[in-house]
Amino acid sequence: MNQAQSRVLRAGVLLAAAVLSLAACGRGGTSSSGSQTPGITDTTVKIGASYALSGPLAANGTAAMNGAKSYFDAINAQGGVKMSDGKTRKIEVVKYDDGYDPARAVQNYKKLTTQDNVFALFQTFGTAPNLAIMDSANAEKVPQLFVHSGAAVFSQNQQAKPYTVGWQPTYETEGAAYARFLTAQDKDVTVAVISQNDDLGKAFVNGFTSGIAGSKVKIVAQETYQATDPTLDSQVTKLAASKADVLFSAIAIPKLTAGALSKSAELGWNPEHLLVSLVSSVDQVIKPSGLDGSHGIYSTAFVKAADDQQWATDKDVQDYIARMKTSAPGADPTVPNAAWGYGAAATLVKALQEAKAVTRDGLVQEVQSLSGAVPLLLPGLELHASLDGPPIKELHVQQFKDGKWSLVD
Amino acid sequence: MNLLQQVLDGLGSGSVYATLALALVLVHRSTGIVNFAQGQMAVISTYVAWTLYDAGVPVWGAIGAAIVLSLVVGALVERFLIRRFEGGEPLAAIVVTVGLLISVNGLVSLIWGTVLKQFPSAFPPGGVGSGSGGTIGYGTLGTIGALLVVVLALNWLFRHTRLGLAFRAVAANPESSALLGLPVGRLLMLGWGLAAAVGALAGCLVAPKLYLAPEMMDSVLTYALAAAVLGGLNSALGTVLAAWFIGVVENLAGTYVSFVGGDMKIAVPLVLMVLILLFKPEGVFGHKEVRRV
Repeated sequence: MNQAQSRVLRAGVLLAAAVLSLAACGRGGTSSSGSQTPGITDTTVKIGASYALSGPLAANGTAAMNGAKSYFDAINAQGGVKMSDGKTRKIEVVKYDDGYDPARAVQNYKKLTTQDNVFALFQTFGTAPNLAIMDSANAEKVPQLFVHSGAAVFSQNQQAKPYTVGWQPTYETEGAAYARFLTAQDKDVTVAVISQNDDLGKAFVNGFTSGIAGSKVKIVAQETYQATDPTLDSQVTKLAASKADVLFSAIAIPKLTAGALSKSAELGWNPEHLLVSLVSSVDQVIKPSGLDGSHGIYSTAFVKAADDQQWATDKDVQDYIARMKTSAPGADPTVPNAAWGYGAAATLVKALQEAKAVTRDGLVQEVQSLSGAVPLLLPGLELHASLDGPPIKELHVQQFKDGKWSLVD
Repeated sequence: MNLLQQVLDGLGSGSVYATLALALVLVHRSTGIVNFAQGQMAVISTYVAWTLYDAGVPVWGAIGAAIVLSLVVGALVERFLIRRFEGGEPLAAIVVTVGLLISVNGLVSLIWGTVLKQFPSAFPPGGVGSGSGGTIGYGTLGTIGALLVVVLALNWLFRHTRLGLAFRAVAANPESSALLGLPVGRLLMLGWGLAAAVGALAGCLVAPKLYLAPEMMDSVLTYALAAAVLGGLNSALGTVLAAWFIGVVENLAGTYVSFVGGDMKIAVPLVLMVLILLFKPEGVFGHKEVRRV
């Protein structure tokens, strides 16, 4: 055999070895998901999550993660979740940071489903990251449950995308709640609107616009912004020229909302402010803005606020605050995302308990028919699963008074 | 009212960009590197100032202490990290500064968390002017004043002192400078230290407006780079004028050019940057690089 031949032979052997080892890896992957449900052992159920733990929404992502963790920790401390096959399993959460970047969310999704072999995805954070993984999750039949976003797209067509579902009321619903609140006053109201220039901003504005149609409430000025803008001074200055009675801030970034509030005051324009529930934290938004709420600051809620005195003796709220203290010492339980994370975690535990089969499809079927109470929802609100919307479908308006939020409708 | 107010707002945001752009220019002028981590280093300095303030130190004292500390830490970063990449592949140095940006961001989140902090303004609240004419906050006026002081100080340093001459010599030709007996290493350290100090001042001046968070300077960096490039990367005064120009043009384009609007404003500095790099790469206020053959 001459040298050239031997080199070809050696390359061929190497190639064959590489192909074989790849095939072996592939087989290893399929057999683990074929013969047995991924992420399920006799004692554990593995859940995967991707949050914005860095970047502009890091505070919200971290809060959501802590809220969910505090509920799961409490369940695990009680032994775990009793599932329909009679086995009680502890919940193990594998989580990664995506920095609110869709590309990183896709990487995290791949890692979670192929390396960590999770049973289901839970509470992946944000509209864009969830959109980026929705198609893969449905093609690969991985449940993508209770996504941390109010975009309607995740829940409105569960016949076509059965593996994805939201949890909180949609942004359209929330926009409509502000419209209902203003039209109920039955007087002429002028509104200035500033919204993020994407689907999220549009959803709030669409819900609001259809809600005020034919009423005495009129939009007199409208501006948009880009999520990367350092400040919204220029937009607020333009809106201030309208001297509208109300400023509806469909802004998804806490520091920008805080800046818009203080800029409006600096310009001597003191409208009533409507803040979306996403960005309504007292510590993150209202305190930094320097406003005291004397001209009226409103938002919406569907969970009980941890700092609202009327819930001081409420068992759910007391449990929530105590569990947050144990699982995430130093974290602020009044951030809405934390309470949502906690409620969504409770919803997942309820679905795991009630699912008739311990499989991914069994879980999805249960999620599509969930009903009843979960901790922290406001009185009168319950889960009502449907194939055309998230399980929670209503919100109430609240006002910022004396340093905290109180319900007004 | 609207026009005047938009111009004033533009000067306000331009001053924010200018503060960071000055630090970028300083590093570039003394070491020839564009430091992408400059904003993030300013953020950590601002957190240090916030921590001191939170512990009861008066705001000016806290800012002063943060500036001094940043001077030292900036010099150490140059000595122990950047030094290994100077004079080599420029891309390697850029990658190192990007890596520094990401790790400092992580460090800040780890130590101080991600929740917004209110940074106290070093200037009184309120402002000059009325709602009908246009208003400008004392905070913005103070920032503009501080900027001018920094520009004059840097100009004096670079043009009228032996130290400034040495700086310029080292940036232009480190090897010949070393042969002439200039302490090149120490000068490079001082350059980074000064930039970090200016960055610390920048962070403390803009934090009351942008709110202190780990990513506070991320969105500013794009504008600051545009201003630094427009100003020629070497001229302090040119950089400040360029930053004001960008701030004002961006606002006016967003307000009066209908297809730009609020959400296309960010395109303005980027388009400007591309045009300048295409047609006048030395910047509006920069000097052409002349090489003797």
